[in-house]
Amino acid sequence: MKPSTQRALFLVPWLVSFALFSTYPILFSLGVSFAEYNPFRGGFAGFVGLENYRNIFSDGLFWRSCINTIFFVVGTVPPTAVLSLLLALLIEKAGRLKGVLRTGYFVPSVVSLAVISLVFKYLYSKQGFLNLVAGLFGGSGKEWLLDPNLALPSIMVMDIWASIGYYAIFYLAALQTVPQELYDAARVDGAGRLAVFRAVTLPWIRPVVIFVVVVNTIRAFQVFVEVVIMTRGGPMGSTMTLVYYMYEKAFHRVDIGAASAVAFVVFLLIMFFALVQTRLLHKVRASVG
Amino acid sequence: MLALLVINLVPLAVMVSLSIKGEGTVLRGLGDLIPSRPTLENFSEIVSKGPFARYFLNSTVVVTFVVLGNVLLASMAAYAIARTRSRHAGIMLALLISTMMIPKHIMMIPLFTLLLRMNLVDTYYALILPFLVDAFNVFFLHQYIKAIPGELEEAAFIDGAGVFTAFSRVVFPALKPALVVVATNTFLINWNSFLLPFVLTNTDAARTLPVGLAIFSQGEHSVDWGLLMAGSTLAAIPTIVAFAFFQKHIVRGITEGAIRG
Repeated sequence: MKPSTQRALFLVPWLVSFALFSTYPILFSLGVSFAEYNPFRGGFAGFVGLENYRNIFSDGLFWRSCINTIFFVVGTVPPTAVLSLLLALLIEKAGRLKGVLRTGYFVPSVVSLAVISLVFKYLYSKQGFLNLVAGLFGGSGKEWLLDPNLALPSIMVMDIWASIGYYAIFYLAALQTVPQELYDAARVDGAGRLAVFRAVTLPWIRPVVIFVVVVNTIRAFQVFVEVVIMTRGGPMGSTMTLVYYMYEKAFHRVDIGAASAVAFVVFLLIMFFALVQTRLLHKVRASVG
Repeated sequence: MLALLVINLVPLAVMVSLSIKGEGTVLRGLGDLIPSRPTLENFSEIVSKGPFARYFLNSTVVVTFVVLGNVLLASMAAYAIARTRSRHAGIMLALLISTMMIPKHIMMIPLFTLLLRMNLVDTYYALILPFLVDAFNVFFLHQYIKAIPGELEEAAFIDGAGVFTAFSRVVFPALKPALVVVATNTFLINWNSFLLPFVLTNTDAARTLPVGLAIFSQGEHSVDWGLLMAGSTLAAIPTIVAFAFFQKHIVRGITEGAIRG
């Protein structure tokens, strides 16, 4: 057997996995979104054009989940990006404590988001830790996860807490690549700390900032675990997110066609936001750097 | 700075504190956080009663196969790509990158229906097969292999070795550092994975820890937070231990991914 043929065999497991578990699902999802399909009762039942899409677009709950999800993304990604950068900057300057700090801040991201959601479900409960602390400051305890106005923000705060250490790692790696000469040159020119940051650090780590923002956005759009464990979409739909809505459509209503339509809408949204962000953030580069 | 760190770790500290607290989980004051009589009864109860031990077993089995699978199969694919003519390699790299960019949620329904038709829902197969060869691992390893000069393999070929021998005797051993990165990262991601395991299982037979804990927390009876926190702590320990030993590798796996991006 020729070497090149042998090598080709090496590719088989990956190619099979790619075809079966990556390509096929996407094509299937696209196709089913235009059809009626019930895997438990007879399977494929014919194409229905845009009916699934019309179905979801006329569902108030769908729009609610759109708004909630976008609110979630807009409310968690910028703070996370900024705070993790701040954290990285602080750790960078911490000298001997660097290792301890980096480890300590990173630990939450090593723990499963499911576990974190459970812990926070407790912390946010009526007799939980947060109300205890609030009581110390004279505030009254709240039902953080049962109040329609507080539930989603509570989840968002948790998400930011869980993410900061993770993204700080990227920034830390990037900060270490900034050439010392640039800093020295800036300081010789008499630049203060903020000016150094704006003129030297920020432009240099810009690609990583873009990366962090885009990756975080993609993850944030798919917020699901927290909702399943903490609120199940309630109270009163205030934490209904797109992927959870999709999950309910598929597994509680067995409306696979509509769920697939939602899947595609989310996919397009993610691609759109990722592209727009990348463009925007690159343009900002032109004006600052 | 250190003070902020302590505050940052409070949630996890509360988790541990509640696990070792004996009586009840109502906190009447901050002092209640440090249990006066720490006890391991929550741990012994959750391990012996109920499905928790099963969840732990399932997670362990699944993770073992997924990690081993990736270490072996992803390195093989990466090797083939790294040693192929650049035009073909380019196509495969494009496929890899596009796979990495696919948001996971889109897999939820099609994977479920596919496995349903294969009669594999709620089995170990469902939790292992789709994750045996991760695109990121292939990509990462391919970078690493490209940096390994091909002379040693050439020498092996001249000696009459086949590709597989060249790979297993020459390249694979040289991959060890990269494989540690792949193994630890795959372990972390898979152990903590929730979305797909949640959807692909519906009984305790194959449920993994994160899913099992979630289900447990939604029981009809009022939640026993002490038990739940003990379970959560047990679920978190393997990843924290892995992190303690392999922190450098984990960080490397993440940052090299970023530099690619």
